[in-house]
Amino acid sequence: MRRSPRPGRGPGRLSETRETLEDEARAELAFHVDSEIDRLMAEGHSRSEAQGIVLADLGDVEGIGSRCASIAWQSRRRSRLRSLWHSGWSDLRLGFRSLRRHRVHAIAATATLALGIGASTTLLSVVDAVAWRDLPYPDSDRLVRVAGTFPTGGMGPVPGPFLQGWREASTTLELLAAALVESRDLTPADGEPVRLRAAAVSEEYGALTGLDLALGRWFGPEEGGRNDARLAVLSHGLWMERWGGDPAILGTTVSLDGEPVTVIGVASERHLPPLALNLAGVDVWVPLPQAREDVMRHDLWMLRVAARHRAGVEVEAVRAEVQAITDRLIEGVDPEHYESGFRIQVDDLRRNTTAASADAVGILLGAAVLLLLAACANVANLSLARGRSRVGELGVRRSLGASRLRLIRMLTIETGVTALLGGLLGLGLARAGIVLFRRFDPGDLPRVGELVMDLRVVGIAFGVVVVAALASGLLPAFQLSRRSGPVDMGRSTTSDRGAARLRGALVAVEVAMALALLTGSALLGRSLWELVRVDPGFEAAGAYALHLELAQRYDSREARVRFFRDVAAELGSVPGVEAVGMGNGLPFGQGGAMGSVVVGDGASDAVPDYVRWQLVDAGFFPTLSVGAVEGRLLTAGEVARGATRVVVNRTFARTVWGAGPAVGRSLKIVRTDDDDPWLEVVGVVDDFRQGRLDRDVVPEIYIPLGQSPVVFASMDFVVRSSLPLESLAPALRAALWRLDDDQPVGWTDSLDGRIRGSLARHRFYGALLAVFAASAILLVVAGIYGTVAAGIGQRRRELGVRMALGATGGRITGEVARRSLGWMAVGLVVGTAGSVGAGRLVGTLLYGVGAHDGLTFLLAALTLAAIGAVAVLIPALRVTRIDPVDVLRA
Amino acid sequence: MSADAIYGTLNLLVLSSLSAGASHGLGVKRRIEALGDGRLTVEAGALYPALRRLEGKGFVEAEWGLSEKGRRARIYRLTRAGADHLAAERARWADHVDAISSVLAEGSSP
Repeated sequence: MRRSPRPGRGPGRLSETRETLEDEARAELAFHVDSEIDRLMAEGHSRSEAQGIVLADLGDVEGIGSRCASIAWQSRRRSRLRSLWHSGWSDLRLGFRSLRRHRVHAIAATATLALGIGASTTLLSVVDAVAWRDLPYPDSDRLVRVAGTFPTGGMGPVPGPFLQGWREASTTLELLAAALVESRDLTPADGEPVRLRAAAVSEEYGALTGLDLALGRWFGPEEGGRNDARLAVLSHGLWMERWGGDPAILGTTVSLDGEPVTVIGVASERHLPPLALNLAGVDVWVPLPQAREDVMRHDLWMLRVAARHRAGVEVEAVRAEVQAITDRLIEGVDPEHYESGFRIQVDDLRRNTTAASADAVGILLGAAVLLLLAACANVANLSLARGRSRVGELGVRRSLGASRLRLIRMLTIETGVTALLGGLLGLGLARAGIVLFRRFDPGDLPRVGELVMDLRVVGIAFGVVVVAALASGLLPAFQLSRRSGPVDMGRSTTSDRGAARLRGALVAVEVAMALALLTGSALLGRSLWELVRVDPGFEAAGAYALHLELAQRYDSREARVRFFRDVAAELGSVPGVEAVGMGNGLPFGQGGAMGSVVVGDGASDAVPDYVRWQLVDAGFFPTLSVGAVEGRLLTAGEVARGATRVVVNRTFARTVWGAGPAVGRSLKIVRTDDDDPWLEVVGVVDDFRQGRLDRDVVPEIYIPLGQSPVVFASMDFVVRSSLPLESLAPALRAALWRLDDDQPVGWTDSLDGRIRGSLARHRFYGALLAVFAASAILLVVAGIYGTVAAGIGQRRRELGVRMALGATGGRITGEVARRSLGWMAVGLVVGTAGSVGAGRLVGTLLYGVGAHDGLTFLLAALTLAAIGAVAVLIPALRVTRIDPVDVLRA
Repeated sequence: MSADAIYGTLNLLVLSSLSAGASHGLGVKRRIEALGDGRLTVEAGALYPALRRLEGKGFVEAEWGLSEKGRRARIYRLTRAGADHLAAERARWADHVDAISSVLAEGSSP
């Protein structure tokens, strides 16, 4: 290596000031002047003559002097910088060398940092995407959702006249966009028909969301309002899937619900439709004509509205204005359309999007913070553990002339290298974590599609851990400075006891964090265990569902019933199908209806306000393997002719008639007209769960398909088969298309899968907390082990002496262990308090176990205590291996 | 030779004079003026800053010592780096002069 050139005086002398350099330059010139005067006087000039000549010759002596001093000053500064850099480089090499020498410490510290940064970055990125980041729309801070709310808690869409009234009268809103999600069937000339999720949106949608197009254009202002505008903008996903991303799609005509529609654009892949407008997963946008008849009625509440308010306007002012406009609009309109207590609500679009996921965000944030704290504590702990030996080493360096600044720099670099390595590994982990998270999306988080690693988030996680690492890494240097000199190289002192206390406290922190995580995951684990043991009440294995939404051409009740019956028969003929049933709704799916029910024998007080009812055929219960507990099931004949018979579930019978018989009673569903028929109860079926495993069965009634005056366009078929879904589904679809090859199949799935899917959230958060708890426990073990081992190392001399004086190994082991166990106990107590918080966070996910379940709390604490005890005892037992003779000789 | 032309080469002259042995600033000046047969004058106002610059570059190093008359004087000495630099510059200078001479000789012949 090239030796850096050194100016006359070494760079080590930092005491040289500008003034001394000036003095020096003056002295140098004084020599020049004096010597020249000597020479001239030797040549025969008088002193004053000589002086005059020399000074005239030199010119501005002061000027020369200060120029010299200034040049010298500059070069001193340069060389000092150079030497700083030079020694910095050597510190870096020293740092690496030292890390290599203390490999175990380096690996442990790096791994801890990586774990802490990686795990917390992953979760914080999720939280950021879900709750913190601005929505990906222009001026997103001024976007609001405008919705109607009812005292009953209903909330959401508004009727068309409102939108029009707001557009005309509002001064606080500058842009209003409305959307309405509908199903549209894409029926290509060749190929399978497919049901699309279509968004009929007003033209402002493009400006409000700042919609980027991959291709083509958005609807023009005049096109949005016309009833005859048959235009469509495709989603990027649909375009890729159906047309393979072929740009030739622009300007072509596709068939939507049998009507020709011209494709004018394709949305950018980056466009994320606003969730607050219920537009997630939209396949195609079509214009929402302002004059559309069904939209402009006061009795149809279908429009979801988002708006941008003017800058500087408060949301509350917007709400007041919109409410006032709405009140004027309602005047003179038939009051039955507007229930009393109906209000307009205006809320922040982002908060609205994420409000529902507050629980999930809480769990994620909680887990991230707990693990991050545990990681910080562990890093600090590791640094302190080495600190003891460092103090000795630093003392030697100090006495050999290293300045304190230099020592601090050395330690900073060492810690920095670890932090950098750990940070890089952590970022790798976070990347993997984010991929995993997107893959196992628990389904209850909005905006996960926006999930990417965010630099700000990385900065937070990185910053916290690195500050902890640096603060603890530098401690030895400050400890050293408090000492009188570098004499100490192996004796323990009072400041060690301070450090030992600090390390004990850090262990307690780690234990507390780990316990909170462990308790949280244990609660979720127990809850999951309870959930999977819940009997759904029907035979889910081997039951498959096929969902159908009829195209618009099946517009009469008779046509629909006929077609449904044909489909059931056709499905029954598919090889491998053992039974077929249908109902407007199947367990763990959507469907059914809520209605008011009265019973014929005066027991109506006991009837709940709203009862879930659904249409079924005779095959429905047998296919689900649900049996009658009283009376009988509906017969095929009853279903076909629409007999005035009904079946109720056990909960309904219990609720309404108590222990008395249900068969023979009568009830009716109250619709608008008074001549609704009385239905005779012919049987009671056993309870089975329709919605969630963690909710009680609600009272339900089942009506023969032919009985209902209204038959919806959607129907769910259930088939029982021993074939797997993959081989069965194509055969089922083919059977349907034999009847109508323009009819899309909504979906096919297995009821088993639906039940599993309903537990995905529980499983996801359980697994997440379990992984985090395991990580935290690992940190605890490393922390405790390290503390105890280092503590023994420090007291080796003292312990050796005491053993030489007759103390038994067991006694000393006990003493060493006791201190660590004490700190662990402190951690467990604090952790139990933290667990209460953790229990509250996961509370909404729990089933069959309380959020503060004593047994779970106890078991978690005992588990952690046992693991911690092992981590204490293994190094503590090694005390007995200290040889007193060795120690005394040393 | 004009003072301007000398200024550019002053560093070279200083180094060259120090290559004969360590000296204080005045010694350097006298040596150059003596070797130049009085055709070269070195201004103190140029010399001392030049010495400082060379010191900053690491080509010379300085130490306080005593002059032949017992006065405290700043003594400059050529460093290893300075000697290397001088050798390189000398070669370059010779080459330069050679080139210029060739051109001038060409121009003077009829």
